[in-house]
Order: sequence, then C-alpha cells, then structure tokens
Amino acid sequence: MTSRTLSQFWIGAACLGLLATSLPTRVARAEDGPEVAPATWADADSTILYAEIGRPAEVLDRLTSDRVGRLIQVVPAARKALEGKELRELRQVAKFVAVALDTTPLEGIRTLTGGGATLIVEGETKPDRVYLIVKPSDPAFLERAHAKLVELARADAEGKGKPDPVKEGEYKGVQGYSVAPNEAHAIIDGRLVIASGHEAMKALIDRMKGASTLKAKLADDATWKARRDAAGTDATGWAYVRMDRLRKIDPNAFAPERIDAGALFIFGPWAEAVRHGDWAGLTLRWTDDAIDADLALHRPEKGYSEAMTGFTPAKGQGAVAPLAPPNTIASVTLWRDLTSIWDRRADIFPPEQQAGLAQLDTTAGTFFGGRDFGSGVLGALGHQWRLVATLQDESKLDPKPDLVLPAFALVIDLSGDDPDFAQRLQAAFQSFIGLANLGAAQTKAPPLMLGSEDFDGLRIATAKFLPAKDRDPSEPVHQRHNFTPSAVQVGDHFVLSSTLGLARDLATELKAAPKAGTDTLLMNADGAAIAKLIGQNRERLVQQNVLEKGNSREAAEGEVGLLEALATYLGRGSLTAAEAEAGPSFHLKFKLGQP
Amino acid sequence: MSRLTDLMSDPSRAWSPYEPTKDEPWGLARVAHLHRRAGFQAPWATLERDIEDGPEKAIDRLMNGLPETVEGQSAASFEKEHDAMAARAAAGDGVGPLRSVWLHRLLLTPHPLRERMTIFWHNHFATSDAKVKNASLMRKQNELIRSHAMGDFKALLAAMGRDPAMLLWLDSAANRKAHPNENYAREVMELFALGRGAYTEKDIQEAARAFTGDFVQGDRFRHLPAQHDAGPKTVLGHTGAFHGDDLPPILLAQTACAAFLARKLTRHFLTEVDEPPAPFIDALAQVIRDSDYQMSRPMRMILSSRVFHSDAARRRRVKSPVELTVGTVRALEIVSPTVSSDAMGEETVAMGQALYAPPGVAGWEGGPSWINTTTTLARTNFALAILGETDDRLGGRLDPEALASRHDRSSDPALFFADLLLQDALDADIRGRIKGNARDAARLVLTAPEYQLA
Repeated sequence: MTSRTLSQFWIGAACLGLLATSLPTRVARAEDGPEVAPATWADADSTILYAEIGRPAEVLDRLTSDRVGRLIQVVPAARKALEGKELRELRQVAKFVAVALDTTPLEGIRTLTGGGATLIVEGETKPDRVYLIVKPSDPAFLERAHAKLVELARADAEGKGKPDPVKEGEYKGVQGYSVAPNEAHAIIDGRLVIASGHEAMKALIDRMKGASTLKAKLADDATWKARRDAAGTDATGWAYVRMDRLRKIDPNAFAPERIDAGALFIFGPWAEAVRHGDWAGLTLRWTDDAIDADLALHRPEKGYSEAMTGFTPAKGQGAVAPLAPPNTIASVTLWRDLTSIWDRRADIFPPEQQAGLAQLDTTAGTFFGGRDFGSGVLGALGHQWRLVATLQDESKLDPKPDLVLPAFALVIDLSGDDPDFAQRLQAAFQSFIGLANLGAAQTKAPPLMLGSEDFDGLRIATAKFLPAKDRDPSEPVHQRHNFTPSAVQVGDHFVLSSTLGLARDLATELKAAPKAGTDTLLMNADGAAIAKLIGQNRERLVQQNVLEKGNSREAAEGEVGLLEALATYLGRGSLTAAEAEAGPSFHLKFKLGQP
Repeated sequence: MSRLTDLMSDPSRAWSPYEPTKDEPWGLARVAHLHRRAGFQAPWATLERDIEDGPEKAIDRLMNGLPETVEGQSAASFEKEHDAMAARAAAGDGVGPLRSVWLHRLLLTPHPLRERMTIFWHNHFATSDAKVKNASLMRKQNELIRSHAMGDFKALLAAMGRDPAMLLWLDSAANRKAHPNENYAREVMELFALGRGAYTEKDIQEAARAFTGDFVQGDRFRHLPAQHDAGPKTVLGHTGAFHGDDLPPILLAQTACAAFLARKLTRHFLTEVDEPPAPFIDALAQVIRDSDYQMSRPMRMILSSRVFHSDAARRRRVKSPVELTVGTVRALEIVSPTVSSDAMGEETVAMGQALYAPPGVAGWEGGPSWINTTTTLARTNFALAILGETDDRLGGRLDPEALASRHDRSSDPALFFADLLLQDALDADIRGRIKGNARDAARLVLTAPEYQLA
C-alpha cells in the first residue's frame, strides 16, 4: 500500500467521522473496556499493528478538559486553526448534520465511539490491509446517522451538479459504500468498518461472516493474549506491534549503523531488543491528573549478547533513587558497569567510533597520572551514574549572567577498591581547571580562580570567574558567570558540579544512604522547574528563535510560550526502565500540572 | 576610456545634480540603481513609490531613513530592540550570534543607507574578532561606527583611537613609553586617513610616541600618564607635546585626508572598475572639507549627481555577499517569517564576507575578488535555497506566484522578476528568454551573471 492510498484511506475515514455528529444525545455507553472481537477477525500471521482505544469517552473527556483547553489556547497554530475559516466551516457542517439527527457534535462522537475503536494493519511484505473498526454505543443510530450522511452528501452533490460521491455495492449480504478510491466501509454487526479498499473489505467480511480462510486468528495468538492481559482492561489505549514484521518491511530502519555511540551507551540492550525482538507493546492511561505510558519490548529469544553484560544489573541490583536536591529540574540514575562495557567496546561500538575511544584512553591517562583507563580509572568506579540539573537561585548569582543556565552535576560512586582514587579525581579536577585557564589565556578570557571551602566537614574544591572590577552595570553579564565548577568527595561518592551551590546541596543529600532499587534507569523531571527556567530566560529564547527561524517577535514569543505551557502541563515526569521477565519495560508517567 | 571615465573627466558636469530629462528619465532602472547602491535591493512597492515621487524625495528617504519598519515598528523602537539583542548576543563566546543580530537588522532596517555606511566604515576601520576575541568589544565598536556612520568622521576617527577592539586588533593595548607601538600610528595614516605616500616613516615613529600611555585594561581604554612620552613630537610638519587625541585634527587638516575618503566613497558608491581622474576626486574632497567632515553632505552630493544616475554607472560593482543576500531577501519581501539570520551568517561567510571578521587591516578587497569558483557556487546555492522548499532556514517562505500576483503582475511573472531584480541589465533578446512560471523565472533571474552586479 502506498502512502497515497493510505492517505486516501484516512480521507475516507475522516469523511465518515462526520457520522459522529449524527447520533442522539442520550444513548447507553459501553464502558466495559476494549472488545476482543476485532482480534478474532485479524490474521495472526500478517498483523503488523493492532491498536485499540478501549475507552474513547475518556479520551474525549481529556481532550475537552479545561487543562487541555488552556494548553491549546497558548499554541499559536492551534489557536489560529480554531479561529480559522476552515475549521469554522467544518464545525458548521458538523452542527448542521448533528441537528438534523437530534444530537450535538460532541455527544455524537461519544455515542459513535462508545464501544471502542480498533486499528489493524496487516501485510506480509508491506502494509496491504488497513482496518478501522468502530463500535458505537447504539448500533441503530449508527445506521440512521450513516443513512443521513449519505443522503446529505448526495443532495449536496446534486445541488452542485456533481456526480454521486458515494458508491454502493453488496458482498455476501453486506451493503458496502465507498467515498474515496482506496476506501470502503460498511456497517457490519453493529460496527462501522472502514477498510483500505474493496478487496480488503471483502477479506474482512469473509472473516466476520465465517467464510474465513485464516490459518490463525490474532485473538488466539499466545503472545498477543499475554500482552493484552498485561495491559489490563482499564487502559485508555493499547497497541501491539510486530517488530519482526516491521524489520521485514524496512530492514534499514533498524540497522545497527543508525544508532550512534552515545545512544548505544544509554540504550544498549534496549536497542538490541528493538533490533532483534519480535514484538513491542504500548499501554496508555490518561486520567484527569496523570498520563501513564508503559512500553514493553521483547527480549531476543537467545537473550542479550555477551557484550551487553555491563548494561544490565544482576538480579536484585539496580539503580538507586535519583538525587533530589532543592529546585531539581531533572535527575537521572543509570546503572552501568563501565569496566565491563570498556572491556567489550570492540563488540559494542562501531569501528569508526573506536578511534574516539582510543583517544579517550590516551587523554584520560594524562589526567589520571598515567593509569590505564579501563582498569585504573573505570575499575575504581561503581555502577551508579547519577546526573542532576537544578535551577540556580538568581538572587545568589553575583554578577547575574544575562542567560541563567541550570546548574548540573555528575555523581559517581567509588568502588572502594582503590582508596587513592578520590585524591586522583581531585587532582584531575584541578588539572582540568588549569587546562581551561590555558585555553582562556589564548582567547583572552578571564581565568578561573581556584579555591576551596570547608562545608559540613567536607573540603569542596571550587573555582570562580572573578567579575571585572569596574564593570558597566548596564552591560549584560557573560554566561561564564553561571559556573563555579566544584568537586567534592562524600563518602563513597564523588561529585563534579557546575556550581558550588549544587555541590553543597549534593554533599548534604549524599550523606544519607541512597535508596536501593532494582531498575536500570530512573529519571525524574519537573515541568514546573523547566517552565521557570524558560521564564528566567524568556527574552533570550525569544531572541534565539527570531534569529534561528526568522520568526517575528510575536511568533517567537508564541513558540516559547508554548514550550513553557507544555512543560507546565506535563507537570512532574518520571521514567523507569527495568528488565522484566519477557524483556525490558519502560514506564513513563506525567503527573499533570495546570498550564 | 569607458563612458563613465569620460563623464568623470568633466567634474563640474559629472557632479552637477541629476535632473530627469527626456533622454535621462527618472524610471525603474534609476530607482533600482539608487537602492542597490545606497541601501539594498528594494521591494516592488518601494520602487513604484520612488518612481512616482521623483529623485529628491527618494534620496531624502534614504538619507533620513523611514519612520517605521515594513511591519509597522517605529524606527526608534527597532534600533533599541536590536541594540539590546546585540548586547545579549555579545554576552557569550564568539561573534556568530552578534553577526546574526546584525544581519537581522540589515534584513528589516528602515534605514538601509545607515547600515550600508556602517558596513562601509566596518571595512574602512577593519577590525576582526579573529584576533580581538571579545564579542562585547566588537559590539561596542559596531555601535560606535553606527552612531557616526552618516555623520562626523572627525569624531569617528578620534573615537577609533580609543576603541579597545581597535587597539587590541592592532597590538596597541599596552603602548609603553619605552617601546612605542607603531601599528596604530601606521594604520591611522595609511588606512584610516591619508593613504600611502602622504606621510613618512618619521611621521609614524613620532605619532607612535604620541600614543604611548594608551592601554586597554579590563576591556576599557585607559591612559596611563606614567607610560606616556611627554616630550615634543613632530608629525606631518606640526610640533608639540602631542597625545593621541591631538593627532586626528592634524591628519584631517591634510589635503590628502579628504581626497583619500573621496576616493573610497567613489569606489563604494560609483565604480570599482574605473579609475576616477584627480580633478573629479578633488571636487568631492573639497565638499568633504567644506562640510568639516560631516559625511552626509558628500554622500548626498554623490547620490544626487548626474554621474551617479548616468546609465554608464550601473553595474560597475560586484555585489558583496551581504549586499547580495540581504538585497535578495528584501526585494523578494521575505519578511514574516523572514529567513534565518543564523543561516544568513553562514551563507555570507561561505561567500567570503564574515562580518566582524574582515580578513586583514585593509578589509575586504571587494570587486572581482568576491567571485571565484567556490563563492559562485555558494551564491547560486543561496538563490536556489531561497526559492526552494527543502532548506528550512532559508526556503519555504517565498511564493513567487503570490508575490507577482500581489503586485498585479501574475499575467507575466517572468517580466515581473526581470523588472524587480535586473531592470535594464539584460538586452531585449535575453529578457525574452526568461520564461516559465514565476518560480522558474525567479530562478533564472537570481542565477543570472548580471544579478551578481550592483
């Protein structure tokens, strides 16, 4: 199926969406979760995608909520579209049809989709057949609405002297219709069925009427059933994708060379699951106050390759809770055994990136007194890698830079096998500052002044750019004044921070024992803090948008405002990644805020 | 001898004010020429307005600037906003962001002649961040130039002697009595005021003593009396215990100074390929002196002159990368959204003109040096990007059909784009070959060799 025919399918589906306007106000709702019937008509041997919205009414409730409404109001394109001529006309048409059927457009959509909607894509070497199956709450009114819409479309065409826009035909007792070349639809067993063409429709009618030639129904597929059971009946939406069939359709899409070294380091085994696993399942729950998404991947049949040993913790081990110093924007903990990864680097990273790793080996040797990078440096480190970004307290920035950047820090664990290593890290920090000053001298930038501070029984090494003595207060302050690079050892932890303030906060937090976990990746982000950061730098971001995109100031302010509103809307976000029995699983959650 | 040289050989006639006649009518070619040279290529409505209003009003508008931008923002607010943007851009590392702000200003400015003159003086007092490595100082120098761009050259020359970016650029940020640095003294005579042959090595050595005690400390100009050579110096026949500030009046009093500026202005506004005769230059130099170096007067004289408006003066210059790119965007009315200024910065650098980073103390050579195989490709690619949809920073913003239609020229878009961008540059035969839809016609015009000329 080409993209053209696919788009024709969707055009047809959109036309039929108008049916939603044509249903009565008071009808019963099916709220029992997704129906299984469509899976009994899907071919287990060729299904590429099976997606269902079991609770469309919930989606409508969310989309029409005040929270989303406020978000849409700050999206310039959405606001313009809502106020635009085309959407106004569409609303008028929808209202006209709805009135003719004694309902309202919104109630019409609720009733039409009340029993759930399912999308099925099938194909052996390409997506040959696409089906959208929508179950209304009240089948009788679906019939009536469809008839009314067909009648109005024909009357409109006749009034304009155009040919009949709706083609009709019958197959095995089912009356079928078509409004576009690659679209066919029918009302079968109380459901609206839209197919990507006549042949696809005939195939589905055969299956629904029992004249099926299917060898295996998707509903009987053990993997499909297991994933669907795992999703539960309360999910707003659920999707099941056959990765093995997607790879057949586009082998290049998952080729190893498409994943760069950085991504490979973070996503290592999960990338293998995408490249070699058979399926993926996605579950979405959208409530008034939260959005939850669960992604489950299939671990390859033979398990991960030996090279991935350093990416997955042993059973019972895992990433500790992310750090949460005051004003945290985002915090992430990643479990990685870097010694193991380093030892297997030739198997993990592509050849062109091996040269960069060799360079890292040499450079690191300079900083760490000639130690071997793998055993001498990485071997002295633990498996917890924690990165945290926080908002800086503007009132404490002196001078306050024109662009206020977040503070960020890397916290690494010391394995304890090498008691001298913390001291070596302190020396490396000072060497780095010295090197930075050498570069600054070449570019005539001011140097970083090294110093130290005793804090709560700890010695924090720090450095600061000195402000010019007679600085013109009307002049914007250079961005470099965001940084007071600092390093401190706290027990078995070593902190490298962009600011002294964050180093202090982390020193305090790290004195408490970390909460152990069994996940591989933990991440928290605070939309409100991100929104505040955007607010702090609004003028800068607007300017950047104007210069980068050529937008007018008004348009640039709109785009920056959207970012801010989106961050506020998404509220507090968290992501966890863990190794479940079937394979890696990811849980993304947003506790929604008020834009 | 070219027709233009022939005309310049009679200075009184050449410099006499142009008045439209039957043989030399005020029309599209002359209006477009005026904007190309004294601003940037103009959009169609501007050309039509100036044809209607006549040369005097058109030149007045260029000299004074418009009260507001095409989007209705007042000129004062526009300048204030861009000054603030430049200050913000300079609070980071490198001049890339600063370059973007200047290009954004150039794209939308209601005072294109002032910006052209700012570029002119930027090239005259060529200072590069490649050595200065201080965006804030480069920004302040740019503001200084802009503030005097169409005004007092005396003040500008004097201020340059205390400009930290200039002093860093010329290794004169620590000018000690024991080791006078001759760089600034040499360049102020050779490149900024007099030109070669109008001074001696002794003049440079003596002037360098006058500049001792001048330092740049904490990004500011400082005069340290203890490091100043307070003894008498003799420079260009004048003797006294001079300081650096005493030298500009001595330089400006030299006959060579006004002539040096007159020659530069002639090259910038009139011709890069014809050698103006001395009497022609002297006539302009006399006006510069008479105006006490208030540059608006000689500039108005040039723009109002018969020689400037003669047919022979057209396309005697190669468009600089900034003229080419900014002029194209302005003429094609790509305003909201306009193109990415960051992308414009990259394009102009690829074409050989990195604002804030001229290649040396003598600035950009200009003329045919703008054109080589690399830059020609960059110029063509820029035109194709503007007309295309694939480059999301430059393209996708122009609908040539709509532009022609907006000016009631949709019936013959090929002719419209030839009129808008090339006017009389093509003979009738070649003009006749520009055919097709609006986009095709615009592409043919923008990639024509004649389009590279101003």
